[in-house]
Amino acid sequence: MPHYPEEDQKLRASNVTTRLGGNVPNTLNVLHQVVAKEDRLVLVSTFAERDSSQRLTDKLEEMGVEVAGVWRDDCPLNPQSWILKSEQTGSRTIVNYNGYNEILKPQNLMSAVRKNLQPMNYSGRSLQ
Amino acid sequence: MNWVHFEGRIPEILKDAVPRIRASIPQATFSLEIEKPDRHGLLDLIPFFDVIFFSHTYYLHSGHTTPNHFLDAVRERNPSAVYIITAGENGAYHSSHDHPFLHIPTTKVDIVVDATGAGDTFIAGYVWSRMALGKSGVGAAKMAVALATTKVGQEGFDNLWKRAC
Repeated sequence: MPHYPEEDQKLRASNVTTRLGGNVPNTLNVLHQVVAKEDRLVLVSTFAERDSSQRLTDKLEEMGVEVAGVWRDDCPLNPQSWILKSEQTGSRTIVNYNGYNEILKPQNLMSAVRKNLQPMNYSGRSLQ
Repeated sequence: MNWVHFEGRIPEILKDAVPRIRASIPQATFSLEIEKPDRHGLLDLIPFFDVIFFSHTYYLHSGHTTPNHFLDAVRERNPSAVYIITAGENGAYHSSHDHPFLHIPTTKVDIVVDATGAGDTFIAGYVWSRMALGKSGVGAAKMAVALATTKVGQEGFDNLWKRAC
């Protein structure tokens, strides 16, 4: 945006970009650049409801990352950050959202990891 | 070779799940990232992991006055594990049973363009160097510092390996 907005005012953003984030997705983003075709990358996590998670999981799958875990119908939005960048000063103001409080039950975590990491047919690696 | 990495989030869930996952995949390497200082109880998970990554923030809140003291203290929980503190512009501190303390500095970055995800990049560099490039713990940490340093000098994560190597 041209400058940081005034409170109670409307401001038109000059540009918008979206980027995949989160600790393990970031790590997977870097790993997918070097892995061999036969290697597997698996993300086990909790996701917001399917529609709202689609773009995120599509992006991960484009990188060759398999997604597994739990999709929660009661969570409308995955954790995310909005970064307001001012062209005037270069400042970055970050608003973060994490609407659900962590989530994955031990049993779900275990079964998702086990399902995706069977020693007999597994030749890659898995990152939660 | 299999590698299972956990983000250290809710200690109660991990304490329940990790030992059982570990038991069912005994041949995999297990790593844990401990980032946020307020997640009490994550240190209790150390015995179940081969590699533990600490954020600089976590170390700074640990009450220890030097990285060396901090690493010595956590090492008592699992002497055979590898411990790493990712320390931003100070590079990384590495501790393993054969190299109890090693500081790996960064090369100087002229302009910090985007530091978001530098620690996550470090982990990717370390995991891949150990698994696929056959590097030792120290060699992998050096590679990881180089990769994370490259990341800080650019927006996002594209083409990191080509630029770092």
